[in-house]
Amino acid sequence: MTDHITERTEPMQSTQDVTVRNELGLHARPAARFVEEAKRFQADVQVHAGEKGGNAKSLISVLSLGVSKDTDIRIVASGADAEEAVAGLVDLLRSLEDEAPAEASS
Amino acid sequence: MTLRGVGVSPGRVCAPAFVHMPATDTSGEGRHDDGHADVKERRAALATALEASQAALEELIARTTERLDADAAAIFRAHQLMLDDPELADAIDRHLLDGALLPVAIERASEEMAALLHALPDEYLRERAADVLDVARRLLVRLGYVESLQLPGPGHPPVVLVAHDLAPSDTLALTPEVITGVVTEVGTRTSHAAILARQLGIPAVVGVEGLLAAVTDGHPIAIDGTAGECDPRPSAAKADQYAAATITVEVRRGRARTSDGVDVAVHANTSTPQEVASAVKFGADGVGLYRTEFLFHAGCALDDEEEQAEAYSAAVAAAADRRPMTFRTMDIGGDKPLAALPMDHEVNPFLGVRGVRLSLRRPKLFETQLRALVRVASAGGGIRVMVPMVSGLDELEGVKQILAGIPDADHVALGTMIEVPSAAVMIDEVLQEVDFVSVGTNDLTQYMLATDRTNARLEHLYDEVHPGVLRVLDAIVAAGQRQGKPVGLCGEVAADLRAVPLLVGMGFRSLSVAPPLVPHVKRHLSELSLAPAEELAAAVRAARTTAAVNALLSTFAEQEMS
Repeated sequence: MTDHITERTEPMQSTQDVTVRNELGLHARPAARFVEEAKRFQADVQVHAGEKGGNAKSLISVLSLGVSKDTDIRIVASGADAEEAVAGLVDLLRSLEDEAPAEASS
Repeated sequence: MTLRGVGVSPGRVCAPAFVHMPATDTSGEGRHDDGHADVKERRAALATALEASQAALEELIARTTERLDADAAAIFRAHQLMLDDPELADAIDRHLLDGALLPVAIERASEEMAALLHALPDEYLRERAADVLDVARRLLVRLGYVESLQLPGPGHPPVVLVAHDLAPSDTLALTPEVITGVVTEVGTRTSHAAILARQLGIPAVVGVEGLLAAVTDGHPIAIDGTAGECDPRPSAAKADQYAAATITVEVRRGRARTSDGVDVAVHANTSTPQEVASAVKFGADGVGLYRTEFLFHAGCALDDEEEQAEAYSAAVAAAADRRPMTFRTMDIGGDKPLAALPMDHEVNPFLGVRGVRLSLRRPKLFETQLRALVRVASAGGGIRVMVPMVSGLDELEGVKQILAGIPDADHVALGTMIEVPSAAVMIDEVLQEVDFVSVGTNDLTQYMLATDRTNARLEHLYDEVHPGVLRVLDAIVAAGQRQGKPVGLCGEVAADLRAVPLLVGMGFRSLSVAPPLVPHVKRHLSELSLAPAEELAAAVRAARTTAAVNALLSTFAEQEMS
């Protein structure tokens, strides 16, 4: 995950650009885990990929973005825990990325 | 009139057809009056239905993890997230506010959401559209707008289930006392319906073209899961003959003995202590294959030696009277991944990191599993440990190195599955390094024939009795006899009663099948004599095509029956 710029547009909003690096992208189980993570937060969270955007707490929306490996996405959260939500989702994407190569570590 | 299909679970049966049709639309009452006065009432009814559906799914997931595989459970987990999907909820609410009745709102909203997925280029994601619609169907059933797809449950008179296809959730609901046979229009030997029918020990035929057009609901239908045929208009004589065949086969304890005195052990393939107990009930001589990965799919920690040792002890206890148990170390791979062990996406998971390949990449976890198994063996379990997907001596060496670091590792007998063609070709060398081998014919066939056994379009190519596969099986048995080491067989071919005489004639003396098939195989063996079985094997060795082998097997089976 590179090229991430954190910017604060307003006190309750947080945005981060990330590149999805794990093999499956946001399909199948990774998508489900992404949605489950987003749901842990109060903040409204949107994911944008290219021209499409959707609710990060909706599995159908996240799947419909069709995010595959190496897609750049933007996570935009607004609400009291916006920053935590973005950080949590970025961490999750990173862990998805780390878990797979753990396979190849030996 | 006889319709042909693929026999996927042996046996004959005749019973009234129970035609299982997919749910249709919300026609009728719900379109004009959904029983609610206003949006507020509809929202409340929806909320109640959502909650009940979630609870039902939770239960289904628990049962699925136990009975099928993690993949099926993962499908239902995605369904749970979809039931709880805020965008779907918003869309339903929007339609309700527009004045739509509840079933119409659910239907329209789910179709809109499904359309989003259906428009995607990726095939996997497009298929998820069907999941959205399935979730909506659950809600409509729950709300009473769509007729529920209840299959006949306990107490219902016996039927033969007739369907276009069965979904994973349908097959889980089958009650074997009531569903005495299954026949479907589509499907393969490895579809959910086929695997479950074999587990339940009920005859099944799949891939019967024109089935639904020919069958009348409630009219007797005769099916022959051995020959792969069904007859929706059986003559009275045939109906009687097939109905008589329905009588349960007597359970036999002790080794099956051919009429001329050759003992053949019939073991069971199992995944849980409950299945082991069921295997004992069906008269199995032991457990030829205990699939340990099911434990991890059910949530046991991969790094918890204590918990694993307890689970293995429970299985050993269920086997009762020290019946021999063969534990297969975790066979996890890209085609059946484990949530706790996420893996890279593989273009070709059947040729990817699975079985021993994964174990050797995660030596700590593998060692934990081996330690737990050695503990059970040391405590008097007397168990055998079998490693899957071994391709040659290098991997065996890796396994042995890990075992060498475990005290008392010599308490377990070490064996390998023979399912990778290179290990089969090097069977002499492999046998020198292990105490026993067991041939996994499903994967061996798939790898030898380069034929994906889950691909329905290749169904005609995938056949365990291909002469090339049989030639390799011959070599494996011969090597075992030369070295005096046990050679077992635990693939689906042992469940094919037509193939049993051939396997015995080839020299196999230990077969392992799904628990309910044990009495069938034992009875078959007791009616067999070695000399004709060996003649059959000799004739099959001379056969040049799969069709010729199948013709020999069918002729032999008919002669035996007459």
